[in-house]
Amino acid sequence: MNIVELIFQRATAAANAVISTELRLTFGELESRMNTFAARMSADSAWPKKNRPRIGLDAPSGADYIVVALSILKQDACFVPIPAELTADERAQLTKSTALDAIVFAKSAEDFRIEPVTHDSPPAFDEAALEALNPAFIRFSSGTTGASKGIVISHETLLARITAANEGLRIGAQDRVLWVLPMAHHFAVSIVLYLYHGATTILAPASDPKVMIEMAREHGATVMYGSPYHYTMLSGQPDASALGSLRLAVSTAFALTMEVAELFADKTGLYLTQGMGIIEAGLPILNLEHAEDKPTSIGQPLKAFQIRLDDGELLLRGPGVFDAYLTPWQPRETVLRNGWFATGDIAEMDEDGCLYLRGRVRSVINVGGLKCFPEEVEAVLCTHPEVKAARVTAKTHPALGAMPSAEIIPQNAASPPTALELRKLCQGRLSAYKVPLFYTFVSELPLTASGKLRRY
Amino acid sequence: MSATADISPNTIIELVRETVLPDLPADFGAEADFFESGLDSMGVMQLVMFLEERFSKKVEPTELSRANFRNGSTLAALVNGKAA
Repeated sequence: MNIVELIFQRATAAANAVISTELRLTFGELESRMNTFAARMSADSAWPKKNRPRIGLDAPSGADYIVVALSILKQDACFVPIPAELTADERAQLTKSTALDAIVFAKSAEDFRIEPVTHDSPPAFDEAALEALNPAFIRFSSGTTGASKGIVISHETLLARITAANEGLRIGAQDRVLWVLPMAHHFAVSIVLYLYHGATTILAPASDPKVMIEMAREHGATVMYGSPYHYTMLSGQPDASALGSLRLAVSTAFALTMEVAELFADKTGLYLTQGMGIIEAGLPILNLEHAEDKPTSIGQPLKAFQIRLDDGELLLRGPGVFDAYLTPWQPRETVLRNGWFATGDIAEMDEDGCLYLRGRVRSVINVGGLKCFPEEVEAVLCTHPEVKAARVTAKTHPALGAMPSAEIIPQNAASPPTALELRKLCQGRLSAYKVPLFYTFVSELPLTASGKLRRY
Repeated sequence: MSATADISPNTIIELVRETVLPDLPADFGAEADFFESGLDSMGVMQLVMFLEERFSKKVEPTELSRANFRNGSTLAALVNGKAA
């Protein structure tokens, strides 16, 4: 089974598939542009001559990202998005741990090159077992020590997941989805879901609320996906009320505060629907029933899912859960606990069964929807010869979520390193979102009873 | 901030270089476009939080426009409370 073939078997050729500021493609045009690109790509001498090659994609967010990503999937290659924010070290690590066979660099569907990749050692995972899964994509995720687990999603799992999520979203051919999030993080589930269900995806620039509203109005957007940051920005526009005609505005990436929910409702008359999207399981929980009276809740599980709280940790069970972790190789069954997936999120449930997220089991900071592990950042800070110890914690903001902030014990209190030096050190080694925004110098750090750094 | 001296575009450019765009060239001008030099939405979010803290100023939702974050001049005007 190939999800791309299903998309175009179901599609109406003349219906709009993708609209961006520079391009407008019907499903027919998208398919033919995809086929042209796929033919050029496979004819390229650098395209790997093997079954199910793993192909990294380095491309800017835009309509052609969709064209190129679909072309890769259509050829039964395994698609590995390479997010733009990775540093050279992080890219090298992604390339090695997912054992990429080639990287496609695509400025557009006309302007691209393929770079083959060779490796010193064989893949650290079971290549035959991976192939047997019919893998569609591998999502690289940063781990506690910076080591990626690599989350494998097959074509079948992708279909199960978008089918289950759409029982809540109810996206169909009549919908036009306003999209402002980065493609590398969301293509494989969200955009595929819209295409599969025949909706139009409107790609708006992420930092321009004026253009977002213009595009929403011009193309008659019915659904929007964004973070509390985007909704705050939109609320500040004089014609924000134009968004009141959306039938659904989903807030994702990081926690929606009451402040942002009320601001947006005040300007548009529309309450934001918070959802819980997780890469291991898709969109299992969505606040469809209580957006208005409980906007800070992530809501209730969608029909296909069951949830349970285990000592405060949210566990879930349902269709579309990932197929395997790549490194170390762990098929789904070995990860699940009696069929349940442990999300790592601490949650509470109220009398209506509405869930509220209250933090993480492990010390991860959610920066604009991306995971930042304090231990990884602290380890980088501690490589500075003048740093004796470091603690990285979340500094929070009602509309922006959390950003990492560092406390440093210098080797010599009389001559601490400068914040600029530490920032440069981190910028060289870490993705920009992980680099602490603030640096304070302290003489001691709070410890737990067992002598570990206290994180909250 | 209006009671004290205004923050100059060059000070702002230096802060942007320090925080989110380390590769800005040395001669980056007050009117040169941050977005064309790689400022993305994560960068804008980081800048908002950093500038709010540094200048004890709250950036209002109405001020979160692309125009205000475009270059050193517009961002200095925002911080100085003189945004368009």
